Amino acid sequence: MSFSWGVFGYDTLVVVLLALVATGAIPVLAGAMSFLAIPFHAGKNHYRKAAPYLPRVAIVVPAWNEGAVIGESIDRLMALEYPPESLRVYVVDDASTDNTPDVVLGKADLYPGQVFHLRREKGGEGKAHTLNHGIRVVLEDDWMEALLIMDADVVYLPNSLRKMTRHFADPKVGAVSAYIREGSADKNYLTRFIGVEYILSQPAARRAQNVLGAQACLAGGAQLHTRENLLALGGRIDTSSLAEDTITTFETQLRGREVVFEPLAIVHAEEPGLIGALWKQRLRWARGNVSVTARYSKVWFRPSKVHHLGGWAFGIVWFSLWLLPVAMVTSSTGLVGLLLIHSQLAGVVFRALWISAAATFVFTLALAAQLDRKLSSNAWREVVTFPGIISMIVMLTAFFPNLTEIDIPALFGVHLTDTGLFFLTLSIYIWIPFSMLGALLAREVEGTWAGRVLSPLLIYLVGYGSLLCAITFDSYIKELGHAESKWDKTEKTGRVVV
Amino acid sequence: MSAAHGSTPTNADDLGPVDPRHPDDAFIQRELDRDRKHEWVLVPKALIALAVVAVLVVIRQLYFV
Repeated sequence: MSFSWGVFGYDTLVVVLLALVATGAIPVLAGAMSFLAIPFHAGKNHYRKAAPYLPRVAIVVPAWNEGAVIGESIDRLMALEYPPESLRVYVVDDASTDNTPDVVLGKADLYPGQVFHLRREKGGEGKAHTLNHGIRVVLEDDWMEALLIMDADVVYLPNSLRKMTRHFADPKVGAVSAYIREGSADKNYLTRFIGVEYILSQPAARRAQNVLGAQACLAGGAQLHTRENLLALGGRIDTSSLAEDTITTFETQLRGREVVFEPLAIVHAEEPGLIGALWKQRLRWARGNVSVTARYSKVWFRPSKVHHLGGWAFGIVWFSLWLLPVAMVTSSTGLVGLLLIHSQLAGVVFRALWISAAATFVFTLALAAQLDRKLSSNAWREVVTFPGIISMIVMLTAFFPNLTEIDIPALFGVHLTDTGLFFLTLSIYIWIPFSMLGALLAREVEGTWAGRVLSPLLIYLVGYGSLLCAITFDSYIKELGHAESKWDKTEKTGRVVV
Repeated sequence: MSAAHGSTPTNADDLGPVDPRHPDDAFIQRELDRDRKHEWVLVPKALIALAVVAVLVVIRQLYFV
């Protein structure tokens, strides 16, 4: 029996390239697993352990130059379908330089004993510091039984708070999160994409996390804690990173308390309408997730009897999202490598990968669209093009063999040569990493004269998901370069409607 | 909030007469029961989403393989 190093080397290379391609399958399978868990929320939810319960709720609202929005937010909080004697609002004014203090003091006069103005003379340290100022005050006496942390601009639907508090009838629950729904009055393509993303990430994915028994993150603008949980956390919010909400969520669960997502408690929020502002906001979140991943290195993939954060399913979902841009690059590298060495497997694994991706995308978007029908019907273009028009063509190529390479060109009398077919295939295989560059270009041209048309066009072409992946990639670069971690407040202008 | 939002109605009137600022235990329990039952719509919604995928697979098998 002879042995050929050439064959051995070729086979080894093929195996390595196949392994690279397989990295792209992990997020696809994780997404499919996560979304297939959603219908199980029908039976595996927290409603059976919930019961009527209306604790005394202190609402802490961090506010820096929120004069345009804070007054209406307070009025809406005071109109909640909740016993007014069990509600107090503490606005922590983070050294505002606009009319925030006047607006809040006016509301304090209007709602005596219910609205309080707390002033920080030294501001700008970040949301967690501002919150801690308010939390210190509400913990000074024993009036508060539950603490609601919210943003100044969000609008709670009237029944939302009581839908959250009912879960505290179960003493094992430490915190409850609501569904933050994109609610800008003057929607544009980007806020509609964000709206679709929020359906996917909240009423869809967080229901799945309820089923898994571990929540990744409490919504920053709508998180309710029991007093006991807050005290167990040290009576303060972590100030050491940009991911205070995620750290609060993890610490709650690591101490054996449950975190519940309540999909029917709905809160409207204003989201960025420009890529630049979204990039800044999401870069902060993504860099926070990098630090969370490192901080809890001893938690991942280590099942525990106390919490479910160490479960395999939760770990795979977390890392699939966090490492998605890496998987996109490695998977494309593997495909291109197989194509260049003329392996017959290139087409096979491309089809397997992209058919799985297409099926998962169609399933997740078809399910998500039904979870918030009004928002989805107003954003149907963004639902349909969420993966990006070019990625959809790639999916069609995989799903329907010969359609884009032969049938459609033939309609125009075009017949691709072998060389043409090779370069078309190469373009398809390398598309995904390049889509992130397209998203970066959309951000770069946004401020130019052409940006008004070109930026939306690019995002529709490359996909909103690629934009998020590009931001995550940027977060790797910033973290590796130890770039300064700065808390940038997302600008709000009072555009929220119910 | 209408049912068209994919959620349950906001109006307390939908669950019987009640002072919305002081919802009593019976009202909250009814709301809770309704929300719990509401979650079962996830099953047909997931089946519809699966059916969309199945249609694509059938088209592929019939016309492209």
